[in-house]
Amino acid sequence: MEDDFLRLEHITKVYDNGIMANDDVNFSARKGEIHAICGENGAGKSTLMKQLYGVEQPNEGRIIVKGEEVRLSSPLVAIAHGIGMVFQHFMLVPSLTVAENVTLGIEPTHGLRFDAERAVAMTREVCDKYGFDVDPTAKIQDLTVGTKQKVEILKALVRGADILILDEPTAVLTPQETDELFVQLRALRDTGHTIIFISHKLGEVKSLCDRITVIRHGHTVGTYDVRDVSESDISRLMVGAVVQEEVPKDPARPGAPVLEVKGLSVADQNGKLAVHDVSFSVREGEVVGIAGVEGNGQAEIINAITGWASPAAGTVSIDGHEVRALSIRGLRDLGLAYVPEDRMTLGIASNLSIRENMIAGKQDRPRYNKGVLQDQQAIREDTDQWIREFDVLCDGGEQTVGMLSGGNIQKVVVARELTAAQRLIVCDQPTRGIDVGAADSIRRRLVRMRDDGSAILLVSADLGELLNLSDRLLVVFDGRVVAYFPSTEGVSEEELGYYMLGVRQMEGQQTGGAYLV
Amino acid sequence: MSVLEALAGILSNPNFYFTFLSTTVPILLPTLGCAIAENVGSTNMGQEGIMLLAAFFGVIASAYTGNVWVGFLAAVAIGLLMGLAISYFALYLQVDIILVGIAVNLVGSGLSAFLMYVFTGDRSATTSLQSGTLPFIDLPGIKEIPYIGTALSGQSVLAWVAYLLVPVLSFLLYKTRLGLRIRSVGENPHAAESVGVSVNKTKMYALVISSVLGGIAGAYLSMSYLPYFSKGMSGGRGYIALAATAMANNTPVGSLWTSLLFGFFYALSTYSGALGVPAQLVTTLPYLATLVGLVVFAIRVQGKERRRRQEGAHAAAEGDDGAARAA
Repeated sequence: MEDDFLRLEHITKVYDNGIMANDDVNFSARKGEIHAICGENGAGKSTLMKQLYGVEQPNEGRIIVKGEEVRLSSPLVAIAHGIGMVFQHFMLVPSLTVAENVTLGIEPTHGLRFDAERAVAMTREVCDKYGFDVDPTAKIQDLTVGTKQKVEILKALVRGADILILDEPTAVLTPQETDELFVQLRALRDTGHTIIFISHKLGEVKSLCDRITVIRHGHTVGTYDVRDVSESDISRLMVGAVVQEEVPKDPARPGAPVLEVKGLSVADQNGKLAVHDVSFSVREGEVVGIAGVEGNGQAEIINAITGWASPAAGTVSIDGHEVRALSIRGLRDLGLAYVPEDRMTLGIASNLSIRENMIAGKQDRPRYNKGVLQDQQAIREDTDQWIREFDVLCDGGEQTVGMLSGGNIQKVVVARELTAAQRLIVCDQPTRGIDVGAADSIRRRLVRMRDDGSAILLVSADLGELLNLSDRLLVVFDGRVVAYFPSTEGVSEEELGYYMLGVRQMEGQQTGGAYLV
Repeated sequence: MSVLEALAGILSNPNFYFTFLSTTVPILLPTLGCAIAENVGSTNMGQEGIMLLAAFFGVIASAYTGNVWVGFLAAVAIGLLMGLAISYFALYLQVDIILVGIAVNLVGSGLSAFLMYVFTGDRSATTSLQSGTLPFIDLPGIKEIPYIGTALSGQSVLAWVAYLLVPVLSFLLYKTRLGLRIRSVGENPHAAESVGVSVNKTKMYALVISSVLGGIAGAYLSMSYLPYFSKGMSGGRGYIALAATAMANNTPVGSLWTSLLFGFFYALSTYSGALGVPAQLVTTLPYLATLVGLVVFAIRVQGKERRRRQEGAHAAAEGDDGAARAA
C-alpha cells in the first residue's frame, strides 16, 4: 500500500525523432522518503521526470499517484496532484519579487487587482511553516543562487506539493549551501514529503537519500536501499563498469609561462568593476584552477582572456601577445582553445549537424579543403573519429546537435575545442552535467594534454574536479583573488568553501604568488 | 535667425498646442500597443497595416450605415481580427512574428488601396463617400483659458480615450493578474510555462490588445484627424511606434513621453509654411526623429544581447524565444 504513494509502471517513451528514451521503466516512491535517481546522461532520467511532471506524456505505461491512476497531461495537472519540480535552470522571472514568482499562476486577486499583500502573506506563511529564510518582497535578480533555489522549492510547496522532484539541485551550490539544502530536504521528508533527487554526485546520494533507483540506457537497473550499496556499487550499476573517481596524474613539469594575467580589472555589462586587480599566470604543462561561487568575476576573467571583453585595467597576454590587440581568429591561431560554460549559446550552433559543429573553426585548414570546396571525405573521417573518441551518443555525424542530450552536446563542444588547439586551453565547467564516465575521460584527456605541454586554465563548480586536476589553485570572491594554493595537496573542499564565501581571506603576499614567470 | 524667430512664433501660437495634442494621438495609440506586445516578448510590427485596414473599413462602415459609431466598432473589430490573425500565424503556425508583421503591413496598404478603388472608383481618397466623424468635445468653461483651453477643448473623443489609456494600461500591466502574466511570459516564458501559465494564450491576449489599439488609431485617423480615408494615411506611424516604444523602455508612461516627442515634430511639420524653410525639409522632421529613435532602439537591443550572452547558462537555457530569434 505504501508503495502506491507514487508508482510509474512500464513507462515507455519514444520521442518524435525516434529516440527511445524510456523502455519499460518502473519506479516507485514511498511517502516521506528521499529517493535518488541516478543514471548517465541520456539514460532517460530527465525524460522520466518530465513525464511525472506532465511536460511529456508516456507512449505506454501507467502513473499512479496516491493509489489513483492519473493522466498527467500538463504541469498544471501534475501540480494539482501534488507534484512539484525544481528544474536545473531556474524557472524564475528576475525582475519580479519572490512573492510574485511564488504565486505566479495561482495569483491571489482582489477584484481586478493582483493582491500583492496576500501574495506576500502566502509566501511568508510557507516560509514560516518550513523554516525557509527568504524575504518575499526581494527581487529575484538580487538573490544568491542558493536563495533562488529556495524560491523554486517554495513555489512547489505553496501549491501544496508533497512530491518534489529536484533535478541536480546541488550543481550550482557551495558546500555550505548544499548542507543547508540537505537540512531543509530532510525536514521536508520528516513532515511527510516525498523527494525525488536527481544527482550525479554519488557522495551526496549516499549521505542524503533513503533509496536509490538506477537507470541505464532507458531501462531501470533496480531500486536499492542506499545503506546497502556503496558509491562504487552505484557507479558500476550506472555505467556497467567501475569508474575510478580520481584521475591519476604525475606531478606537473611546468615550463615557460603561456598565459600572463597582470593587474587585470574588468567591468561587467553595467560598467561596474567585476574583477579587481587580478594577477596570475599559467605555464606550459600545468593546470591552474579557479574556484569560486558563480558570479564572482570568473566569467569576466575568462572573457578578458578569450577576447570577449576588454580589460578596464591591466594586461592579458598569451605567449607575450596582448589579447586586447588580437581578433578571436588571431587568438585561435596562437593556439587558444575555449570550452565555454554556456554551451547552448556560445558552444554550439544547435541547428547544425554534429560534423559541422565539430569542424567549425577548423574549416580553413588545408586538410578540409579541396579547391573551393570543403573536403567532405576528410571531414567525415575526422569527425567520426572524434565522435568515437569522445563517446558522443548519437545516430551519426549528420544528426542535429540540438537533438542531443545536454551531456552529449557538451561532449561535442569539448571534442571540437580539444582537437582544435593545444597551446592554451581555457575550460569553464568542462564536465558540468556530463555523466561520470564521460567526465572521467575528459579529465584524463586534460591531464594528458597537460603532460604534453599544454597550459590549462580550469574554472569549475565541481570542487572535487578542481582539487583533482589543478596543480595550482586560486579562489576568487567578489572579483578578487582571496586565496592561492601553490599545490592542492591536502586542501579540503570545506576549506575552499570558506574562501569562496568570503569568510576567510589570505594576505596579498600569498595571493601574489599566483603570478609565476 | 529668421528660422528661430519663426519657431518662436509657432510656439507662441495657442493653436499649435491643439495640433500638437492631436498629432500625438495616432502615434500614442500604436505605441501603447507595441509596448504591450513588447512586454509579452513579441514585437508587433503590423500596426501600420492594422491602422490602414481599420481606417478604411471604419470609413466604409460609417458611410454605408450612416452611423459613425458603427464605423468605430468596425475599426475596433478589424484590430481584434488582425490581433487574432497575427497570434494564429505567429504562435500556432510558428511563423517569425516580424515576418507576420511585414505581411500584415503589405496586406494593409495593398488591400485598403485596392478596395478603395473597388468601392469608390477613386485611387487616392474616399472623399466621395459620406462618412462621419466622431464627436469632438467642447469644454465650455475651460475653453476660455488661454493656451490650455485652446489646446484641450475641441479634441476628438478618441484623443481623450488615447490619453486615458496611459493610466489604464499601466494599471493593467503592473496591478492585474494578466499584467503579471504578460510580464512573466515576456521575461522568462519557461518560468511561466512551468507553473501552468499558458504562454501562447497570454501572448495572444497581449497581441489582441495591442492590435485593437492599432484599430482605434485607424479610427482616429479616418474619422477624427481627417474626415475620410486616404491611401497610405498612416504615414509610417506604425513604424514610428516601434521606435517610440523602444525609447520608452516599453512602459505606458514612457510611451506617452516619446509619443509626445514624435507628435511635436509632426505638429511642427504641419506649420512648415510659417517656418520659412522648404516644406519638404520640415516634413522630414518626424522621420528624422524616428531615425534617431531607431538608433537608440538598436543600441538598446545590442546592450540587451550582450547582457544575455553574459548572463550565462541559467538564463539562456535551451534557446529561449528571444535568443532563438536573435540567432
